[in-house]
Amino acid sequence: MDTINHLLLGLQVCIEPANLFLAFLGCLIGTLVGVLPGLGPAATISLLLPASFHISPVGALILLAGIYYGTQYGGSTTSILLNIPGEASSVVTCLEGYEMAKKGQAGPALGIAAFGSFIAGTAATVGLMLLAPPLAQMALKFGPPEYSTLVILGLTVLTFLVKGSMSKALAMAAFGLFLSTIGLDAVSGVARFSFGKVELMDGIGLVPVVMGLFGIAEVLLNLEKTMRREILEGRIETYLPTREDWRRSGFPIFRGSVIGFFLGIIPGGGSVLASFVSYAIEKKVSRHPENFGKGMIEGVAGPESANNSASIGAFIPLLTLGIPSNVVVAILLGAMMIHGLQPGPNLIQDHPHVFWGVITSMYIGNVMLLLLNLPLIGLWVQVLRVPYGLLFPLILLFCLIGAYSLNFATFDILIMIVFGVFGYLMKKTDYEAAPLILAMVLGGIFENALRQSLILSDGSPLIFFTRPIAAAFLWTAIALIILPVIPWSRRKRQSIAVDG
Amino acid sequence: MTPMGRYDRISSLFLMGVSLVIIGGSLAYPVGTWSKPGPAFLPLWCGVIMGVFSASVFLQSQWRGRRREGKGKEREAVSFFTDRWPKLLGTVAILICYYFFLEILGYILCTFSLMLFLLRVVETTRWKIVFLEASLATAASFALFELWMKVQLPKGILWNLFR
Repeated sequence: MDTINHLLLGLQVCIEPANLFLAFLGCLIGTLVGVLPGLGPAATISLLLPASFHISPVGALILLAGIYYGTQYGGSTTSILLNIPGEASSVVTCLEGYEMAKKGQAGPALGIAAFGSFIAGTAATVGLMLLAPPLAQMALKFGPPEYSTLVILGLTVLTFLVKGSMSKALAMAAFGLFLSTIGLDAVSGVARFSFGKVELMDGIGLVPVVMGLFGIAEVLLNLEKTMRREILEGRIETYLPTREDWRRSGFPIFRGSVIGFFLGIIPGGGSVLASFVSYAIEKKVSRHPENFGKGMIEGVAGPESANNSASIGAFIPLLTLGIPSNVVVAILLGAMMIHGLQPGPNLIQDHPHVFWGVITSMYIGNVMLLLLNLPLIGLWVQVLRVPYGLLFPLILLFCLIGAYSLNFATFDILIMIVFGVFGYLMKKTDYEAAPLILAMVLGGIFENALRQSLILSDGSPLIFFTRPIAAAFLWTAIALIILPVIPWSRRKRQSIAVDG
Repeated sequence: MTPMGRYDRISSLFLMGVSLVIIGGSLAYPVGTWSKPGPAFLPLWCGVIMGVFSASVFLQSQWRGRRREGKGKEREAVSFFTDRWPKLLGTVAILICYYFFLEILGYILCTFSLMLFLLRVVETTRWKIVFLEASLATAASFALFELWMKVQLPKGILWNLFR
């Protein structure tokens, strides 16, 4: 009964014309960003963050959340038609979706991707609605030791799962934590690493760093390549999957929804991981695994469902614990704080209209995305025909305006350029940006919790091992750091990255 | 993309240098004690952890390099930059110029110049398209951000001269 009342409250918020429009706008922008390679949800949300200051907090969150799950829908279009993933989470869709398109089955591939995403997104929203309130209650029992070890676990999970060297990822995470300490220390008032510059007293802004690492760096990398796109020509007769397609896709959609939802919750997990794991599982359980890579619809249905489900599941730790589970949600956390909302266990009590408004908007957003994606595929294909040489100046311009408009200071532009070059060099040398960003976002929470824990325990680090929840988090993190040393585990970890 | 051992070594040495700077810089502030951590407590430990893992990357690259030599494998000859590196350099240079001149010359002039440079010099698009896109992008972005979203874009000294 309570849930129904809450849903009605959320619906009341969501169907306000302004909020409905913002949900639609978020889904549209998200789909467009998902379709266009080179600009991801992280950079887009950062770009639109300053613009969101002019709207209400709940409206801003609806818009930005819509962009996030909208990109998951859009990414599949380029994967299937171009063999170029629009988003990292659509990489696996290329493997089967493009092969299906080559066989003249682009329509059913696009259709099952859209329908699977819709079903998974809706199911995940139900899961969010049911799980978030009890989790928020449980989170009220978390103290500083639990928060600090949860952050350590989240960073460790992410570094464990990135492709490539875990040592590099951990070095980047440590660097990100360091970056979060620049500026005035909240406890002592000491200006750390500010070198006397007023602009650095508030620390290094997250938005310019993200735009640099994900926006500018991506443009620089793409400039190195000649971006040739061969769009599969040929009329798409129908987007509706056949009965046989549905029979084959039913269980993959179900599995993908569940896998994606729970992987989205784990700090460090997310859409990318969910799509890879779903693909690996579909290949494993299939009666014909030898056909994977040649156009199996299960290889589209499962991963596309998983990535959408994960993008919704990722909101659970954000809204209930105030801990972002991936980079994009970390930026949403920043957005909430800028709008005066403190995410965490008290959000449901203090701002129920925000919490339930956002959840209800996800139902409506999923319907909008289903209606947007299939009929507008022709439009997205035309957008894809725009040469990258004409697009990248616009991307750079939006990054520059976005950085400047945060504080009306050119210093943020400089930060963005510096991190853009740094991000380019990082990508060339196989250092991942995600651990750096997540650590930078979590650094403030982590430092406060760590200090409080050590004060509570009078300096004894054993507090992290004597409290059961904190100990569980910490031992899991330690296991994840040690596992790569074991050859069997190293091969397994590499196969998760290689299987994609 | 498989990183070359040499680039791993260079990057890890660079990061070890950065970690030493962080550690050194942290010691300029009070570290505190375990029971009362000071403002330098976390930065110091971040520097140490970063240094340890950077050293690990360095050692792994050395070990991998020796294994390859032991197996008689030839060194890969992979260039770090592609032959389009002037475009990259040009793009970064124009962005830095934009940063320097934005508040002096104002948004409209800087943005138009930026778009001209990127479209013509970096991408060698035809002049007709260059002018069209540069003009449209400048005007549309000005209308969207300054007029609609009320973002205070810099006017520059030229605006003040003509006021």
